[in-house]
Amino acid sequence: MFTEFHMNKVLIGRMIASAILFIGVAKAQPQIDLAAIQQKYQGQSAIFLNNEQVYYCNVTKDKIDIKGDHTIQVLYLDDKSTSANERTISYAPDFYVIENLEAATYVREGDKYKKLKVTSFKDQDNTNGSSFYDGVKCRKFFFSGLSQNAIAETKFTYRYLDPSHLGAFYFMRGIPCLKSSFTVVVDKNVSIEYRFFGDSSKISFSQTTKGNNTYYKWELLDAKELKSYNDAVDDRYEEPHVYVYVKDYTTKSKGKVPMFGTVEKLYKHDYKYIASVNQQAAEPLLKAVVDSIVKQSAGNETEILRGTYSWVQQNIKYIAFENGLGGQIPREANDVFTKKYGDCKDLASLITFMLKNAGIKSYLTWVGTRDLPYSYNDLPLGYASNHMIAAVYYQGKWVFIDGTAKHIPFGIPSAFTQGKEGLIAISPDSFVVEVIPIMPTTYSYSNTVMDMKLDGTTLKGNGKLELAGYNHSSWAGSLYYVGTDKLEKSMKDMLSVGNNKFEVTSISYSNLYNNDSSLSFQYGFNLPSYVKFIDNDIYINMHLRKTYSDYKIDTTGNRKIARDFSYTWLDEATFSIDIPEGYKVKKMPANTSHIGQHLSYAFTYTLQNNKIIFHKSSSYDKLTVDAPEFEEWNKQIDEIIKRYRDLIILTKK
Amino acid sequence: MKSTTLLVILFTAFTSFSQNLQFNRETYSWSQTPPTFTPSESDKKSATVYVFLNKTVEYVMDAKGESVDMYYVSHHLKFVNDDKSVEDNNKIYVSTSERQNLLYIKVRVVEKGKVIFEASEKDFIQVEEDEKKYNMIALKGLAKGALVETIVGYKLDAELYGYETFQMGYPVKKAEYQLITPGVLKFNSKVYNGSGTSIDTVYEDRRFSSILFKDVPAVDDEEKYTLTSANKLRVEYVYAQHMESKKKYLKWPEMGRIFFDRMNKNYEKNEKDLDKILSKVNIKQCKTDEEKIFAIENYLKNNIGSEVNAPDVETFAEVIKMKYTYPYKLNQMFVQLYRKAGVPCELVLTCEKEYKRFDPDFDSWTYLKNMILFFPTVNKFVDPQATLYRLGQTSTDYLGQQGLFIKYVTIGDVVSASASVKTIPANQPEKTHDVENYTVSIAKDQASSTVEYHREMNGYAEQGMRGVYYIVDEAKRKEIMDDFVKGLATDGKVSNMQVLNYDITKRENTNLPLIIKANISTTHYIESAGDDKFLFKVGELIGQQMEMYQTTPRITPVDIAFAHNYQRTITINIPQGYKLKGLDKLNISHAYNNAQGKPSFGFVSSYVLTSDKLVITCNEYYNDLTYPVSQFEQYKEVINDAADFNKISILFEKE
Repeated sequence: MFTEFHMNKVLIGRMIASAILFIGVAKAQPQIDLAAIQQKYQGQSAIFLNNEQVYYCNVTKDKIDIKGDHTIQVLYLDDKSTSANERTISYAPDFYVIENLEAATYVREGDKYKKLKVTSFKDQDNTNGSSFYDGVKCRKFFFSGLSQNAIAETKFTYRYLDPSHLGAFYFMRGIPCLKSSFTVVVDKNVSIEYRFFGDSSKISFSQTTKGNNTYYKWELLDAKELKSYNDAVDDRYEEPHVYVYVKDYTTKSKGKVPMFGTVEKLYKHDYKYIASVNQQAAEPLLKAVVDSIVKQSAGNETEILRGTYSWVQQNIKYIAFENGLGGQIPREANDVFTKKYGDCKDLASLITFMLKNAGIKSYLTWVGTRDLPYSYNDLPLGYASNHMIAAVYYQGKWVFIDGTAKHIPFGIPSAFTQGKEGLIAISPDSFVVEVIPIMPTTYSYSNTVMDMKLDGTTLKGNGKLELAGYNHSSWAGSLYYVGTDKLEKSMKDMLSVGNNKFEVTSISYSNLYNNDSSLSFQYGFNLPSYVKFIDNDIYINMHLRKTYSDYKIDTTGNRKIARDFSYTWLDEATFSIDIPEGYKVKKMPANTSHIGQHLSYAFTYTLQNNKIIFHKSSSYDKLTVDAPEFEEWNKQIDEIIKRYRDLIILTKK
Repeated sequence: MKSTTLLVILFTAFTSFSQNLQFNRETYSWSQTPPTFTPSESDKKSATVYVFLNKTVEYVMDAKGESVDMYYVSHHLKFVNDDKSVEDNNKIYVSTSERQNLLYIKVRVVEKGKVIFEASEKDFIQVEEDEKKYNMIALKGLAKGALVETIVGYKLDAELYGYETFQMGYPVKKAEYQLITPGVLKFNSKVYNGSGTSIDTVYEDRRFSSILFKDVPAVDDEEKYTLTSANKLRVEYVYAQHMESKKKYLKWPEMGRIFFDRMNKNYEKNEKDLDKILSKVNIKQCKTDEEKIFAIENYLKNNIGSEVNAPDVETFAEVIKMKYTYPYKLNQMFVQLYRKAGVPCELVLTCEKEYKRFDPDFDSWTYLKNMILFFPTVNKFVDPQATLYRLGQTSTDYLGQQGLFIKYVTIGDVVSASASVKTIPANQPEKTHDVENYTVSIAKDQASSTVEYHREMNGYAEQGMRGVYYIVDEAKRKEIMDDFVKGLATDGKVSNMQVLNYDITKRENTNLPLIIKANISTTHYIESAGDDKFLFKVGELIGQQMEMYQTTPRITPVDIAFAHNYQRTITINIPQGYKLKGLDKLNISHAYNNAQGKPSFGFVSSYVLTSDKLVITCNEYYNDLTYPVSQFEQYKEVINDAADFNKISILFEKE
């Protein structure tokens, strides 16, 4: 839903390592032990023989000059490769461009390889990014002759026009890789540093100096495929990767030019993007909106903050133009106001400007969302940020305002920034790095109440659902996009429990888009075929919603990567059912409760005035389940699933 | 050309609209006065409303009267009612293909009778990707309650046929179709899935055919078992006749001959290459037509990738070396190889039934979108573009659809073609079985069960699964099949998985079912009711079954992709000392015949109980591709029978 502020930067990093299949064979005949590879990788369609990058950092003609040679070789092990022949190599004309792209297929004929060069390349726009427009382009081509045991080789050079956009090297791919290597050759006028992330235990590193050059080399041999899990945090939390950056360089005319290496330097570098934003006066219509908010708030600071945030949430839509410096520089608030759309930094620009006009100081703030595993100290580069919000120092603490999050109230951070750092731009020389809070379980509270009775074999009754916090935001978020004509239908679908015959017969709701109060639904329902009538007995499973049944973590493949949740939660539910006339309770399931380190739950059955009341509650107070916790987590889930099988039995008196 | 004076050919008495006889393709624009719109109560229930929609096609003849140019102008005005509509409409993408030359895009936003934004050239971003160009724009200032007016004009490489759709995802208050042609050229237009008011006028040497539609309802995308696109209101048009020369436009037989020639282009030149390919295919080893057909198909599908944007090359030999080509060229290779191999083969031109129902009475290339091949000697089809299907199976999009069958006719040394419209037969239900056997044993602790799963799917029943299983690597195979056999028992542990007959490159498998066997151990099906009894959710073995609701009256017939049936047998080994209860619900029987009195669709289940076994048989079948609206309620009943069965639990009680 939100597009990332520094998407360009992130994309570059990903592209360098994973979006494309990169290559390199120097000799005319690739030297591989085919039989051994076939034996080892049986059942695998393709492997990377080589994933290699060599960067050269020099000072040439009084300027910093950086290029990267990329070599990728993919070996196809079965005869199903004919449809895998399309490749695109991306580039961003303002930041890095392709030089010398060559591609060829080495077709296996007997025990020799015959080279088929790719002769036709086409430059076009690459619209795969999540922005409306990001200016990223690509060069596209097709390999000829792909067949069993053929090798597809791509070699190209990136010329980096901006030394702050060097990306990262990723060692692993979705398929096995025999050799992944990253070398940086640095001349004496340039000094570099690097930051390594993920498991480095299998990666060799060497640093050597020869003549004027220093060589930094990382290598991973025989890498397994990177296994993806769709419930996990971003791959970058686990997969090994390394960022190299220029610490400083020396030229004859400029002397020593410092670049990156500390948060201070990053801030200095990034501040220039925002330095000259919003110097104009507010245009009259914008001023009028601000004035009316101030007036309605009677000058109360909280109300002004609330009113301003809510005005932006309701009136400005998210559309991202992130081409070139447009990916870095927030647009003028006056323009955003008139256009009624913007990307995250445009929305932050408008919010801070409106607040300024209302007499409240607030600040543009860079954030790396939960997709990024970095803190600013770990990675003092633009790659640690992918988002921009506003921050205000309010009642003694920093409060973060995310213009892209439409369905949260003032005072609450967007869910996907929880626990991450905000880099708050105070002035040209001063900034604050502040951790964005993780909201407690009680914030995202939900409460279901369903009063039911049997009408024949159908369960009928009234339901109430209250959704607070991020539960509210996520429901409002999905309903916002369904449109007036489908709103009620979608709500009914979302309220459905028990089985797919669940029918909502009436519905009302309140506070769907009122972020300051919790969302609530009242509804009438019918649920046929849920309760089982056999002989003289009635069997009822009170777990009408089995939230945790899909929560087991797939730990195959020696999984290390954490299970991800968008927010912590506290769910409560009360299901009550009238005991039908002529029946009595024959059996009630045992009550259960568990208080784990992070996950707790309780299921309680009580009999009260001819009603069976089933109460359940559960909470989880972390955003992830980390690898050491997997076993315990799965045990707990198994226990819950077991309880999902409990039945109440009623019998004829 | 003579200039003709105003001549009203047809003027229906009740028409309430006037044609724009001054239509100028170069300068066409919106009215100076910004539009206004007051939504009705029902309009307010829609995210977006099309206030009007106008699509104009104009053919213009050059001075010599030898060739025509084609212009297209689309003009629409949308009312933006809610936030979703703002999000949907504040970004506009206008795409142009190689055939289209964009003349102008005009976009404006009108709020309360005032133009608050009008796009100028600099507002557009041009993007080019995969032979398509896009003009993109983000509309400034768009908010709820505004109107968005858009006009797009193109000049196109002329095609003398086409269609326009007038039914959208949202209601259309007024839609207008206009076809303008030189006075001397007569076109035919035909309305599908609705009716409008037509006017035809000839004015100053231009012939205007207009059709007006009012209050076109939104497409109901919730409707199940339907051909959504084919059921949309649309107008087809095709060139009919030159009024002076009286020369008529192409009819089916001529189109067939033209297509035959295109597919056989350079046949004589290609013969050497074709021979080489046939020798690679080992055609000489093939004894029967069926063997030959399969060998050629299999070779091309295994070795030549089909890429829409592949570059053109001169010869088939080059394609073989490159191992990929564009779909049209691949079709030519199929056709010419079969010809060279001497296998009798008919080219069948048709379109997907979801796209349009083929109209045999409206001779137009519009229906001749895709080619499949029919082999009369084996009575089977081949679908050249369906890489993962082999002989006997085409995309289900064509089943029951009509098509133009083009046959070879040899007179002396000359090979030509004759063509006529015939029906591509529906698949035979007796060759499309989905046989599901579940043998269940309950664990001693009554907490889990083991299901011996045995499934056999032949014909279309495997729904492409065979090909997918074949093409992916081992890890993915396991993942796909584990999920498939587990069904609702997501906690299931799968063992002894066996998948048979999946290799699509072996001819014998085209006549064999895809067989999947596995054991699944799961707690999912059991609900505990105390120490001495438990419920077994037997219905959930057959997987989730759709519950069909249709709250609005059904207008369109029920259409399904292919005839199919499920023959399910569930055998439950009863643990010693237990008796079963609640079996009566297992008896379900609804079976209906079609108009010909033949069994058409039904759901029939029953059981046999012995001392140690419960055997449930449950057959569900849909033998026809289409069911009339008059049988809709019955159809719904049968669909919902499966959903009911799915909810059956039986009680195991200690004696």
